[in-house]
Amino acid sequence: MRLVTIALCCALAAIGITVQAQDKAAESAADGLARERTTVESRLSGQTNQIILAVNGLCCRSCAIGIGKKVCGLDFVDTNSLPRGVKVDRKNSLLTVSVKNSEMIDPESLSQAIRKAGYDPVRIYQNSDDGTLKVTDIPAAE
Amino acid sequence: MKPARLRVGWLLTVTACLAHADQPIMNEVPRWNGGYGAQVFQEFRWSSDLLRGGTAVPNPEKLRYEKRITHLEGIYTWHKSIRVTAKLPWVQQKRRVMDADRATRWERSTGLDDARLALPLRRYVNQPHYSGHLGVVPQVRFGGDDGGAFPISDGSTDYGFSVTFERETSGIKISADLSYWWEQASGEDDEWSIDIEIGWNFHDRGAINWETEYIEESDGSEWLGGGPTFFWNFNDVVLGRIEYKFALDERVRGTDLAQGDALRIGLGAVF
Repeated sequence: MRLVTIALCCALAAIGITVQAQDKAAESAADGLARERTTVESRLSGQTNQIILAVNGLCCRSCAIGIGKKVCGLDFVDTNSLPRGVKVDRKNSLLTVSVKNSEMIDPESLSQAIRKAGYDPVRIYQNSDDGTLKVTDIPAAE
Repeated sequence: MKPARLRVGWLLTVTACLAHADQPIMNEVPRWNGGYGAQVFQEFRWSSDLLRGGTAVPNPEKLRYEKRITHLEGIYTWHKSIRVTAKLPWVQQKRRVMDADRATRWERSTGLDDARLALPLRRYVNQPHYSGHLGVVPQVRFGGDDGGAFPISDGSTDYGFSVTFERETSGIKISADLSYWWEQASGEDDEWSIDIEIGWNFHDRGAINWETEYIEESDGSEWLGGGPTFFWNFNDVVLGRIEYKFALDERVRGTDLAQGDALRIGLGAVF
């Protein structure tokens, strides 16, 4: 029983420390959205051949592998400018996709590809013709 | 008093299985639909520490064991919530044992240890800055080779069940796994284990985890151990890992060799 007690104490301590660390890093939804928009604006400034998606769950070390496999096969993705046409920002849960032509983008097939990789896309950011940032919410999967 | 021959074979057979209580074989990959992968592990395990219950006792005869296990493992992911994993361990082992007349000699055996099939079922939660899951894992292990004088497998088909939890942010990962195995061979004991892992994703391609594991059998033998694991994704296909584990505390039934330390080196590929 001594060993059980030690093991359980270690487990509880580990869970507590980790959850606390995660909660400290968390922020309100509104603050998070504002920060996300600022980040996206700076990255998409002057870019017409890239779009950025906010993707829930896109924070694990290996997530870029699956995302790349599923997204690179889409017709409108340009695999020449980024590796497999994508770049994953795990810290901000953002996915940059390089596109051949912004008018060719198919949000539905892009969302499906990301879901097949195991993640949930929530928004697409792209520059519109007049240079303003266009935000399109993606409905949750049924 | 005539010393009884040390009952090392039984313990080493069982603890070799216990050491692999963890069922994920590549952590989160392949998470994508239709993903599959395979990995090869080379495991080295050894000990010359003699225990009576939980107390270390002198080992003047220099009794010890050494085990080298080659693990071949595979995974297929239909959907992130449904996967199947298979494990096949090939064992080469030897031990120095003592007979009733105190003469020592080496015993060797080679063969297949228990093959395992598992069906990890997970319910994922994807949130803006973390991803996690709760899961259950029904498992079965099929008896391997007997091994003769130094047994490898008890030959029985056993059934296991695990409950898993995982939560990962861009920097930190924590996972827990609670498992129970129902032993079907007569004379063998059921076992349960809890495995806690905390990891730091220090790089887009690399992570360092600390794993703490506790294993208990129905006969009262216990093992608490832990150690670091280093992961590195060489590219989008080849993944590597090095793992070292050592006992923090251990209790055996009667007098027996400790499970000892283990070094595991593996390479995997995902598609």
